Amino acid sequence: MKKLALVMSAMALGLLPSTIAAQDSAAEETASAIDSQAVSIARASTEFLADLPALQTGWFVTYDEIIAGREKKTYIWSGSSALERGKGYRSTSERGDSTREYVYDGNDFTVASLDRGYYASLSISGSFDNLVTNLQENHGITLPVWEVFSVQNGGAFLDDIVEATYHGVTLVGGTAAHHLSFRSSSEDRQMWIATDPERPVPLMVVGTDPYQQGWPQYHAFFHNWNTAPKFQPDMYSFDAGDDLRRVTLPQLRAEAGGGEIETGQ
Amino acid sequence: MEKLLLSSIAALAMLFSSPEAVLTLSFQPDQAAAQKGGFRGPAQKPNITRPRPQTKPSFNKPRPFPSARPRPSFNRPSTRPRPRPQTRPTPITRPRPSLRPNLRPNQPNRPNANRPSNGRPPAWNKPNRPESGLPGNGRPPAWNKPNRPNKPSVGPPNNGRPPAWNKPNRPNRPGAGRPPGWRPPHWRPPNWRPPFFRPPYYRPYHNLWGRPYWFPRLGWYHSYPTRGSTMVIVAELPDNCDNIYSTDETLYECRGILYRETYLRGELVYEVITDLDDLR
Repeated sequence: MKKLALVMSAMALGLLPSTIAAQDSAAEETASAIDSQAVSIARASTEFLADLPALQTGWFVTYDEIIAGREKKTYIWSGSSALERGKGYRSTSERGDSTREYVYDGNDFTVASLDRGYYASLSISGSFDNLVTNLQENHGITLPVWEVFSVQNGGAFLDDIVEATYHGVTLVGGTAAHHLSFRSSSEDRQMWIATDPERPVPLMVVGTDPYQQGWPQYHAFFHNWNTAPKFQPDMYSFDAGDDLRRVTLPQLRAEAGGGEIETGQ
Repeated sequence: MEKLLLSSIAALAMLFSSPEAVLTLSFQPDQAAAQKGGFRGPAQKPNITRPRPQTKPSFNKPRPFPSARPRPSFNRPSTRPRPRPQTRPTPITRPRPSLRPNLRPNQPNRPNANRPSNGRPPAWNKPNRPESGLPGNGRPPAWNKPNRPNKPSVGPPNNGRPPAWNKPNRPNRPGAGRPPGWRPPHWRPPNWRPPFFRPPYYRPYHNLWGRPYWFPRLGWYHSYPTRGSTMVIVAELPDNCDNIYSTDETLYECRGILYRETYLRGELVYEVITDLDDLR
């Protein structure tokens, strides 16, 4: 018995340094896989947007959906969004064959389709981040390009990355941009961020879902950045009038509201 | 004491010598076998020599004269030995008188003969039926048992098949009279299977709401989980619907079913308010 204990302790003593060495080497490999230049450029852009009191941009988004494991369908969503922190948010978008208006004045949220003649309203108070979380979890509504306007969640992706690469400078619509790529446990993402150090706005973002067959992607192209917009006082008010009819906005279950629903069985 | 011992010995001698003792208490095999003629050692399989059917022609026999039947007009190349003419007389196809008793329903000595069988076949092999009177332990005679001499058929001649006109003593095969390698049209080997064919892919009816379901009065609908219940939605309203404007929401009545406009995951859908159980 004593012999066995000696053998076990010897094995433990022999394995312990090698385990520590393996952990160190893994940490070194992870550290070496993350390009600090790429991370610093991305963080600078995120902090720049979070510090802006108001911002406005136009965007053009495509996103894929894999149906029945083999058919890839790409949707187009385009529009413009404006946010004035502490006052309100308004976005006008086109999706499918109709338009959507998202209006938030800090107390009430309204989504409306003016060409279809309906609207849905909801009472929510709080910041823009609170609005995003509430809509997504309870009602399954995802605001367009919300991550660009978010303060809390804007840099959350960078905290989870395992690889980062800087690919150099490339032109995006005539504007010089840093080409960055990241890998995280949930998503692969490429970013093109303007090289202007005074105005490091994102110009394009491409995300890939590495866990779904077909590897669906989303592409978000940003244009017409306005980092110091001036808005009208009635920018965040919405009057339904008599032409629009009100529709119900149901509360979905948690598994159905987070956008994690598997469709196309 | 001696009297008691003698009396017990006498009683035992009487007991083992009496025939009742042999029938009831005899456990010795020699005594038991002695009633059937004595013990002859272990049981042996009876050596019953039955005439085996002649399957191959005997070449030691003198070849008889060829048959007077007309032969085929062409010389068919064959690797098999030429069939020899039939040397045995043609079996009589007249039905032999059967050994089976007449078990028609009107048989008088069979109980419950007129009782319907409830769709079941007659239980010939049913145990504990001594009334059946069937030979062979109640089973039908094994006419087709192997190693039995050929018996004249009780059915129609040649088992109902047409006679083999083309060749004597040969079954009427499909390829008979054809060159070797000939197969009937569309012939496949026995282990042949059709090649795998990938079924076509059909795009789902509506991919956004998941699997569709069918209800006769609704058409295609989807179910969607909500807080506390499951919502039944349809992507489009049927024709000829009446709008019912309420104070807080817009309702539609189509063919007796009430729908409510709902904004779900960025799309306008119609929630079915009427309980589906009421529509069945």
